[in-house]
Amino acid sequence: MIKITNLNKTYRSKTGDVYAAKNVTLSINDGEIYGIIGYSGAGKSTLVRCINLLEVPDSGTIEVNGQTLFDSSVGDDGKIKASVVKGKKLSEARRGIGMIFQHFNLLDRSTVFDNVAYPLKYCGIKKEEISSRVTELLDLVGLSDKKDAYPSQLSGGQKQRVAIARALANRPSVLLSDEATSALDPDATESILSLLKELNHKLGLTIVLITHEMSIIKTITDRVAVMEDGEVVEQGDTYDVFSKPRADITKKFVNSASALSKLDELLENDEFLRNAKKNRRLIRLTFDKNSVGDAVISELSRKFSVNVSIVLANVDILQAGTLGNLVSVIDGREDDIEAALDHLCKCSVGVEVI
Amino acid sequence: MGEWIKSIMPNVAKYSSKFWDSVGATFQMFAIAGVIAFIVGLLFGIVLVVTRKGGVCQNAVVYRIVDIITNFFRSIPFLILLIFLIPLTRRVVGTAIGVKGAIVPLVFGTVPFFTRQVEAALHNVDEGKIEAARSMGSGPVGIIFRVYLHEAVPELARVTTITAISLIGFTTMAGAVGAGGIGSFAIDYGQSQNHQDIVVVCVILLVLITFIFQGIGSFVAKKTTNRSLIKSIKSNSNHKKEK
Repeated sequence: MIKITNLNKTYRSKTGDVYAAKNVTLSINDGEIYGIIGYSGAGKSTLVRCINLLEVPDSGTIEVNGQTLFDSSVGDDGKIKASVVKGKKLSEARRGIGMIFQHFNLLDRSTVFDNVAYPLKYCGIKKEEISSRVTELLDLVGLSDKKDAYPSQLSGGQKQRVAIARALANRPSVLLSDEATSALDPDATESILSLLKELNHKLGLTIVLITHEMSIIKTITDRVAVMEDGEVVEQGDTYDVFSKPRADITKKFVNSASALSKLDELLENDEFLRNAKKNRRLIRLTFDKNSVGDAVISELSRKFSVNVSIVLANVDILQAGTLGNLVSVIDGREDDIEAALDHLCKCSVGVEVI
Repeated sequence: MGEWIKSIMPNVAKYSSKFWDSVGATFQMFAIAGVIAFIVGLLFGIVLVVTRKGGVCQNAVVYRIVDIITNFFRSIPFLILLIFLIPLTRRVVGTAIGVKGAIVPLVFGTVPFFTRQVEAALHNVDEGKIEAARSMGSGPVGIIFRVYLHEAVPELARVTTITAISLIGFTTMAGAVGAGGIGSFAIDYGQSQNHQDIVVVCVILLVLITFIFQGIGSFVAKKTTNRSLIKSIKSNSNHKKEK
């Protein structure tokens, strides 16, 4: 369990203060994959670095697996007093939190074996034990045959696998992933994501994943927080956020991951669609996991004598289920259209007239 | 062979024992000052990197002090530094002449140069690697030895070579203030007595030393650079992309 409450972090610069985290409160459950999405500069990197104290916050509290790593209180003089875990305790706490990075950050002059062994060395662990643990880890990430290779001999995806093995060396309960797939090609991205999913299932690993790509959030996360200018503007189950985005930025992200992003472009260029006349409406329907299988459209034209033509359609497959989106033009007599839209609302289909 | 040397370089043959003495003196100055400067320069370089803003042991005061000392001694031309340090040298080693007297200015002349080179070499180590090490629970000592120094070995080999070559240059200049060595031999027995062959031999010897150092340095740097790089290019054909 990771608990972050009222976290604040400000960077001071000549041009003014930059809020990297503003009153952030989050709790991440054991064994879930939690996504944090935002544009660059939204503060998500800072937030995730606060979890293992690579960045020290200004105020707030951070608790990981029952251990308070950072706490602050306001003293009598109105100044913030912070207490941070330091030295040996901090090192120990960090060993319980693995982290992987966008650029892998492997040691170029060490072999794959030595890279994975890095966190195990100088901790009083016997050589044979290190060796067997590293072998086990490389097996887990599917790189047993690359033991003696150097990072420069590996592809991006393989490098990230080595980094994952290294991050898991001390059997952490939490893995922080900072844009871990942003530097990879689509194939490697997919394979790393499925590896993370597998590790989440197999080891019960809690994964906190930062990204700016909604498609990643969509494929693997259970819950998500959307960040903008240091603030969490929206959070919840990924499915809910996806099917009913509230904040503008969330809508933008959701659209970016589906074919519906083309809608605006289409409206702009297509006179026919833009000029919604009488007896014709442009509607957007959202089918959630309960209604996605129903034959709503054909039912509609049969029952209400309206014509429905599909402009755009998209199905998203999320961790928690399927989500359908449909933009269509509905033609017919005014009262038929009204009745049809009424019917749609009853069928637990989200209706929006554009 | 002896006859041949006598015929083309009569003065070198005449002063051969002096010549070998001077080579020995140069070697002594180089070795002693070199070892001290290497250790101190490495230490200062590390201190600058770890105490700078955002470093693993950020400490503005220590950084400032080392930075200023380094800049101060770097800005003084070596010949001036030699004279400037005479009182200090006398106090430290008891004399300002001879090999012993040359060690102090040589160290003061070399350390700032080497410090900056080490600083640059360590600075080149990717910040991300440091961050990864921190995330794995490494403390400052672990990061210095296991990341900074470990990853910078080829670069350190290169800068050590450059420094060694410039130190050889300094030892010949130290000859000018009576430190002995190849430099003073070339001046006293070559230039002053108009024995051109002695000057030529000294030049050849210095060029040779420089070439050897550069060769060793480049070899070490190449050997330690990502040992696999060359191999990986060769075996690129069977280098499989992740599926």
